[in-house]
Amino acid sequence: MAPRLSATCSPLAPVVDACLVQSCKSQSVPFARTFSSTPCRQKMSRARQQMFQWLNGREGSEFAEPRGPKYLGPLQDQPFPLNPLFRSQPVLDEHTRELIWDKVMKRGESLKAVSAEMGVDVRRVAAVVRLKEVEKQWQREGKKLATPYAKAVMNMLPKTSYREGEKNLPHEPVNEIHVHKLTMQQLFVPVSESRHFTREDAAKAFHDSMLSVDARSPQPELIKMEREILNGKSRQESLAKFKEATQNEEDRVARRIAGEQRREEEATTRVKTDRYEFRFKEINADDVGYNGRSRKGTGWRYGAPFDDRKRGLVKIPTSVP
Amino acid sequence: MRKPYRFYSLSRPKLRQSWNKYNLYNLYRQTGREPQIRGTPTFFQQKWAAKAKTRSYHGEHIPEKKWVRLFSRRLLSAVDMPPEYLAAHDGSEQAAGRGSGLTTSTVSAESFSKVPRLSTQERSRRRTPVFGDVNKLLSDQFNNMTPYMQMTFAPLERRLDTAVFRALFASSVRQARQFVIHGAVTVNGKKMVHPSYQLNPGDMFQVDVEKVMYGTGVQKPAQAHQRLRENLEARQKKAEQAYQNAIKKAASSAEKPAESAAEAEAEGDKPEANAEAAEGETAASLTPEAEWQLKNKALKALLKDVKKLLKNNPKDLTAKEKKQLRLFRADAKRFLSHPEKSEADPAELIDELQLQMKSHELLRESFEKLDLKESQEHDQAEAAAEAEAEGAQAAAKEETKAQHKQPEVNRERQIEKGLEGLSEEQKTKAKRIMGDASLSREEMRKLAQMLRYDEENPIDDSKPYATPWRPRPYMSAFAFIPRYLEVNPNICAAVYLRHPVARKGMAEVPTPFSYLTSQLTHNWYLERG
Repeated sequence: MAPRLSATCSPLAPVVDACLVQSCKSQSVPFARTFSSTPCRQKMSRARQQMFQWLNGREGSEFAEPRGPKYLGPLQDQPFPLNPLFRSQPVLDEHTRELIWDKVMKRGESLKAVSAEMGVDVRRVAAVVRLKEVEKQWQREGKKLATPYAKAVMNMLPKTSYREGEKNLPHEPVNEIHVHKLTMQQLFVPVSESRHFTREDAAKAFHDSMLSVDARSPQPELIKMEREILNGKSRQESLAKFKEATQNEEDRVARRIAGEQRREEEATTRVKTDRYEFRFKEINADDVGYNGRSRKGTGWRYGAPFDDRKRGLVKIPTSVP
Repeated sequence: MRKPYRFYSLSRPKLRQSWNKYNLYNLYRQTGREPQIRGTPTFFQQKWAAKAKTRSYHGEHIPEKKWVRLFSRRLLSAVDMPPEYLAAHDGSEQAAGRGSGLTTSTVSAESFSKVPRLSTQERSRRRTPVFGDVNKLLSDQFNNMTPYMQMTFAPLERRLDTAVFRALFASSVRQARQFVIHGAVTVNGKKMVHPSYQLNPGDMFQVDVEKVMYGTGVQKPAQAHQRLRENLEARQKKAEQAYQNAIKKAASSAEKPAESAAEAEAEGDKPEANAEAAEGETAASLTPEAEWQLKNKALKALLKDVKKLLKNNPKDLTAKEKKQLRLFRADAKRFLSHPEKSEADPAELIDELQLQMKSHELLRESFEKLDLKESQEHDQAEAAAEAEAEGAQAAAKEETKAQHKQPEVNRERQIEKGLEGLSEEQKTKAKRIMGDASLSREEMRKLAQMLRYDEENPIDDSKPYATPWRPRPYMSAFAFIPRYLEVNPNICAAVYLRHPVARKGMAEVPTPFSYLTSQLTHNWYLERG
């Protein structure tokens, strides 16, 4: 580092003083530094410059306020330029979600029938109905929806739309099978050439308890329907049969749940006071098992250690009922 | 974990789970690409670099130890098995005839699938590929296989904060995490304050709408609503001034008709402090006529801007028009003597305004009748009739005091009576008055509609984000919803349907890195040398 000039010992001192005097004379100059005659420039690194050049340029400004979906990648629905294996897949649009809710709640169609007809996964159909119900409840309560947000977001996403009475492409596969851990190994099973080696046999080859694809399908009724059609039944007839079968199954589940609730209700005695409602249930003390730790038991047996607040144990819930 | 220094950097760029524009630029210039192997980086060095890169995106706010514990080497995938295929074939066709040297059949589950394929159409090729790009040559076949390696960070997608970010309810994972910690997120209707809660298939999570609008909306600049506030204050002051002037005027002229003032006092004995509240209220010191004039003035002022606004399409209002509507709402509230902070439903507001206008109209008619009578008297100049007219005037004044209760028939008759003697000049004058201080039925309906549209996304200075709400710039480049979530943006709620899976040519975990990088990362966490 160069030594600083001191005003007393330097031969330049009179010059500096003169400059100072001059700069003091012109008070209107806004520069903080007396010696600089150029305006101070904001520091902008080359990378930053390039970034703003791109952002404000043709390509970058398209991203600021686009109309419709717009992604970075070379492919149209690819959000990440380096990863063509991830795509932005379309979501169900507002109209279709409303239609699903209407079909299930108003027309009383079964979830599986709606799923098969519209080409939407059963779990998604159920979720759509559940979310729509909450939305309707909000509307009934007069709670304000996030309409501007929803409009903007739906505008940015690719959408699939289902039109009733028209030919539609399915939204997603309805009969997707998870790849089981046991089937991820490569097997060499010698089989005689004359043997009719089916999917069931292949599953058995992997493991004795392994089920075949047909048994693990979420839509077995649909497979049955297609089989009937191949055997020569008319599509109308077998579709009606399929709808009836799924309806019956759903009714059965509903009845089972209602029965459980009724049994629960019968087992409890309610005593209502002005402040509380007391609920009494019959308890068998032997349910806790010989060591007091059976899951069937009620409460915690006296003396058995209860570790729920111990150090090092995770207190974050694993499920919310 | 603490946010690292230089979170978004241009010199040492790292990709982040965020909608920041620096991040967008880093994504654009392919920051996380796998380097071509020149020289001899060891396998360990390659893995280390890949791990560092991917971890700066996936759960950089989670300590490494916790992520290592979450890591699972069992990667999930799914296969589409169309029911048509399962019904038509029992699987034996895959192997039939192989032993005798026959080529296998082309029948497969995939050929039955009706689900639309992924697009392979390129929008525009930015750079011509380099000749002999080994990474590119390796990547060509990935489209025909199940990219398991891209599923390395799938366990993190189960976390509540990540899911909130993926459902587009927050602009970064760190913000999503803050929303959770601040208690704005519920899971299955119960408040959940742990961002590391692992969602189970079927869990519904819901984020506070205000928080979502804040997180995804344009930021509110400092002093954003200063002009609006100034305008509001000025209008308030003006209204008060007009009221004070009217009182002063009334006081100077009230000495003469002492008995009417006394009557008015008897009618509504209100404290002086209350008089400041609003001009719409009946005041102690004003005659009905002066009060009417005051009200007329206020109405005129109120409707002046509205008439201009009504010419536009109510569906697409500009920000300026929205601001005018905001001012109108404040004015209308003051006119209807609502408290300033009160929440006003547009339908209610319009109903009340209509009622006020109607009663105002009635008053106008009765006053006009008085004026007419006076003029008629002057024309005819009949001394004998004058005494009678005085009596009628007094009666009319009585009537004005009980305007709301006046029966319909009586009013009709009055109007008839009033109109028969109107000269042309007076008619035009009446029309002009009516045009200024009232709206037709059609205009009223349009105003109501406009207010309803405006209520969806109004200018509201109390909100922590810029109003009317607009999405953040550069949001759309990051706007995608993976299939394992079902989102309803209207209520800012989503359902975690299932765990993310890999399919042929596609993985559901959103990651900005190539297959090669993910592969190296996966190998790092497998801890095999």
